[in-house]
Amino acid sequence: MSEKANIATVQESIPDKGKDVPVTAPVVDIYENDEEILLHADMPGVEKDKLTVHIDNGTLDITGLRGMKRNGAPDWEEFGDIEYRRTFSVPQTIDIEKIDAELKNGVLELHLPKSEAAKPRLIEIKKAA
Amino acid sequence: MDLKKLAPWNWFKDEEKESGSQVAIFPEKASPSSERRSDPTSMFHRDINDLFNRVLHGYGFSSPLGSRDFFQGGPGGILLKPAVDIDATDEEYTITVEVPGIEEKDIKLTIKNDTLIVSGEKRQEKEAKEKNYYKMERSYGAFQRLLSLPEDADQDKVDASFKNGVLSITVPRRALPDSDIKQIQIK
Repeated sequence: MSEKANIATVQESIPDKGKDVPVTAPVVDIYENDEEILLHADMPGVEKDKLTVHIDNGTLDITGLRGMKRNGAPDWEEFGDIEYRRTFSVPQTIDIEKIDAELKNGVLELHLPKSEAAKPRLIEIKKAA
Repeated sequence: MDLKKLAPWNWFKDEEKESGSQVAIFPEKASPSSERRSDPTSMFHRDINDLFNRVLHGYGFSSPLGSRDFFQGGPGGILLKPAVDIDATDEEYTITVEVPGIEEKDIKLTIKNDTLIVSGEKRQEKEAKEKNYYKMERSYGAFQRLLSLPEDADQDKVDASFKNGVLSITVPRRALPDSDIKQIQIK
């Protein structure tokens, strides 16, 4: 049931779906350290309100829609309207509550912090009594 | 008949000169975009061209339209080449350049000998450098595009703005002196 509801929200957040907009996967850099997984996705021209980040059951979905404002007759076109869409598998150890997303200069920056339980720890070895 | 006059303005003649070859992004330079899209032969050409570019620059994945080839450059000091769109109205030209992840201050816009130069450098975030990476698909380094301005471009009134990783440059058009028109008095 809950799955269905999620699918519905995703579709709502993608306006102009009827139009024939090409879909492409944004290029990403993914880094990891002990604290978090950091993802950078290039999504130039996407406005904040046209961007959705959705995480559910170990699957992370990123969707962004770019509508270019064309001014007059196109003389030359190397990029245009586009829908960015990419799905990633993320470990269950991500602390979903603390995920932080920021859109800056056309780049989505997504911090996926690891839950306390998943962080590496040094285990103290006790002397046998 | 002078065929050259009928052809659309070639914005990339300086770029071609510099690189000694055609701009790699689309092989068919001067055709209007509608034609470019619908003509199956040129589509095929473009696909082949894309494929070559990807193999040469070591990109293993891509999508048919634009962005994935966003930066055409690669290792070895080759300049990255962000994608550009050019629109024209009667009043002005609008040039948009796709430059995600670049700070406004890292972009340089200059005009030299009727050529508009968009250049700069894309730097990797410091924070990211200190981590291990899984995937590194985005390119970093110096980028440049050269755009040959048409004769009627008003070079003193060029305006630029930057938003969401897209740089928009407006170049007003001015009326050219009608040197070709000569009024002949009827006696």
